[in-house]
Amino acid sequence: MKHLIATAAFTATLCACGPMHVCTPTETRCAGSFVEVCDADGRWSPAEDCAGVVGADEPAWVCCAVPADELGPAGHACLPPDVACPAEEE
Amino acid sequence: MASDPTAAQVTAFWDAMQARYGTRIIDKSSAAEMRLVGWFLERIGVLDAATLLERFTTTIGRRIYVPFTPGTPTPRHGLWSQMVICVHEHQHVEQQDRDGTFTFALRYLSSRAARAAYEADAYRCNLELHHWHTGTIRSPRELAERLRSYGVREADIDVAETTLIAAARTVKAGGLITPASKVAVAWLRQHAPQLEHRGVA
Repeated sequence: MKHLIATAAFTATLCACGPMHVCTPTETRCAGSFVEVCDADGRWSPAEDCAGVVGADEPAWVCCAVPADELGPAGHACLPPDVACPAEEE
Repeated sequence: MASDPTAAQVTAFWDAMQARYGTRIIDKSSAAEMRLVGWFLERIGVLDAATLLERFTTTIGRRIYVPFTPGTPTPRHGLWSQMVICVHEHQHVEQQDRDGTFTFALRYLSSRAARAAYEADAYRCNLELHHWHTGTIRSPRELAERLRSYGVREADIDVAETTLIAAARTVKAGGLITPASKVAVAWLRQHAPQLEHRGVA
C-alpha cells in the first residue's frame, strides 16, 4: 500500500510540473552541427543543420556564435569555415 | 538587380518543380475542398476562410492550391513572387517527406510553436531566393510578421524572427539552407541565369 501511495504521489508530482521549460524563448546555441533555437514553449528546437548548407566554400559550414549586427542581436548561425567564428575571437 | 522573369520562365519553373516533387497545382477558387479547409482553419483559429482563399497558397500532401495562374501576373502576385511561392510551397512538401504527412499535419494544426517553426523554415526559401535574385537580404522581422495571419502567439513570431536572423546570416555569407531552394537555384542557374543578381562571385 505504501508503495502504491508513493508511486501515485510521484506520478502526480510529474504531472503537476507540466511541460518542462529548459531554455528561454529566442535563446540560441550550437549543438553539434545544428543551430538550435529555443521555442516559445521553452524547448530547444533544431533550426539549421550547418552540415547541410551548400555554398561556394568546402568543407562543410560550421555553427558559430556571432555578435550583434545589422540583421539582429548576437546569436548563432551557420557560417563558412574561413570566416567562422567571429564572436569567439574576443 | 537582375532582370525580371518572363511568363514562360515562371511556367517552366513551376512545371520543373512539379515534375521534381511529383506535385500538382489546383486552382484554389474552384476547389470545393479548399472552402472546407478554410472553414476548418477558421474554426480552430489558424486563419480566416476569406484570407485563405484570396491570399494564401496552400499545400496539402502533393496538391498545391494556388490563388493565381503561374505565368499570369496579378497585382498581388507578380511573376517573381510566383516563383518564390513555388519554392516556399515545395519546402512544405520537403517537410512532409521528412516528418511524414500525418505527423506534419497533426503538428501544424495542433501546435502553434510547430506551425511557426514550419513556416519560418519555409520563409527561409523567401530569404534565399530574394538574395539570389537581388543580392540583398530581406528583413527577418518583416518575414516573421507574416506569421500573424497564422494564429500563432507573439512569442512564436519572436522565435521565428530569431530563426530567420540565423538564416539571413548564412544566406548573406553565400549559403543555401533549404532543400527546396537548392533544387530551385540549380534549375534557375541552368535555365534562367539572367535572373541571378549581378556581382556574383
